[in-house]
Amino acid sequence: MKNQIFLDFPIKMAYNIPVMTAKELLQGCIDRDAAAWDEFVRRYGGLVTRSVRYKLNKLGRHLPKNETRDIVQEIFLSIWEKGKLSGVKNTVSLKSWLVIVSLNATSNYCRRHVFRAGGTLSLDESPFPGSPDTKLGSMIPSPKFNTAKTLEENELKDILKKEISKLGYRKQLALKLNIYDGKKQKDIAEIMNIPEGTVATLISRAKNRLRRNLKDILDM
Amino acid sequence: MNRICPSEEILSEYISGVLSAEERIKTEKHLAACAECRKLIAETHDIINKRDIGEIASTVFRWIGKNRWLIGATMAFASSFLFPKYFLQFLAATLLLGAKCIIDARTTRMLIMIHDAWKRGDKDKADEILSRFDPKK
Repeated sequence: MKNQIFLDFPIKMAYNIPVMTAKELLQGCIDRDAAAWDEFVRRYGGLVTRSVRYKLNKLGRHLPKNETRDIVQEIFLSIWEKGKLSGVKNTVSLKSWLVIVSLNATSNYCRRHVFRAGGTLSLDESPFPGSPDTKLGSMIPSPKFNTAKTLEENELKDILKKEISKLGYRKQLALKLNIYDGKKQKDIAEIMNIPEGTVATLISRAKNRLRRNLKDILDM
Repeated sequence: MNRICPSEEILSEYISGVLSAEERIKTEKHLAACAECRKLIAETHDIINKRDIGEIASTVFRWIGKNRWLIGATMAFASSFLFPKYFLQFLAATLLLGAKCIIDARTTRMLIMIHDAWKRGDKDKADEILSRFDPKK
C-alpha cells in the first residue's frame, strides 16, 4: 500500500494529472480522510499564511515568524476540529472562505493578545486592533483644538451619513466601497460581480443625488 | 462581526458570485450598512487578487531552487563563451551540471523507482504502472 502511493504520486505529477480535484479534496476532508487533509493543508497553507500576514500588517502588529505560524496552525486546527468545511457548499468559494476565516481568526487572535505583553502602546499604535487608523496619538487633543470647528465638522458628517443612508442599497455599497474602503471601480465591479460601467453609473448617480440633497445645507 | 452579520460561507459565496439572487440582495443590503463586513470582503478581494512582494519573491526563490542545476548549467555554458581561456573547464562544468539536472528530474527519478520495483520482482505491479504511462489513457 505504501509503495502504491509512493509510485502513483510521481506518475500523476509527471503527466500533470491532478492528484485530487478541489471537490474530491473537500469531500475527503469532510469525511475526515487524513491524506486529503494533508493535501488540503499543503495546497492552501500558503493562502492562509498570506491572509494572516496581510491582516497583521493592516492591524499594525508585527509578530515573530513562529507566532504567525501558530496562528496558521490554530486556523487549520479549528477548521479540522469543528468540521467547518462541511459548511462550504461550493468549491468555487473555498478560497475566499479560507481567506475570510483566516482574517477573522487573526483579528480574534490580536484582540485576545493585545495587552498580553503588558507593554505600553506608542502614539503611532492603535489601542483597537480592528481599527488601525485610530492611533493613540490622534486621540490627544492638539493645542490648536478648535471645539466649534470640530462640532461643525461632526454635524456635517452626521448629515452626510444620513443622506448616504437614504440612497439605494447598491448605490450605497458601491459608494462606500469607493470612498470609505478606497476601492477602485474595477475592484468594486469584481466584488459586486457587475460590469465596471454599472459601477461608474451607480457611483456617479449617488454623488449627483448627494450633491443635490446637500446643496441647500452647504449654501447656508 | 455582530449577531446579524452573514456567515463566513455566505460572504465567501457572495464574493465568488455563486449566491442566489435572493441571498445576494439580502447580503448587499447588509454590506451597505455594515462597515465590518464591507471591510472583510474588501480585504478578501485584495488577498485573492493581489500577490504581495513577499509572495512573488518566495515564488521566484522556489523556482530558482527547483531549477538550480539547469540554471547552473546554462550559466556555465554562457561563461565558456564569455571566458574563452577557460572554455574546456566551463564546458566540463556544463556537462556535469547538465547530467545532475537530468538525474534530478522528476521523470528520471520516477523511472528509477519503476526500475527498482521491477528489479524487486513485482512484475505485475510494474506492468500495471507501465500501462498507466500512456498519457492518452
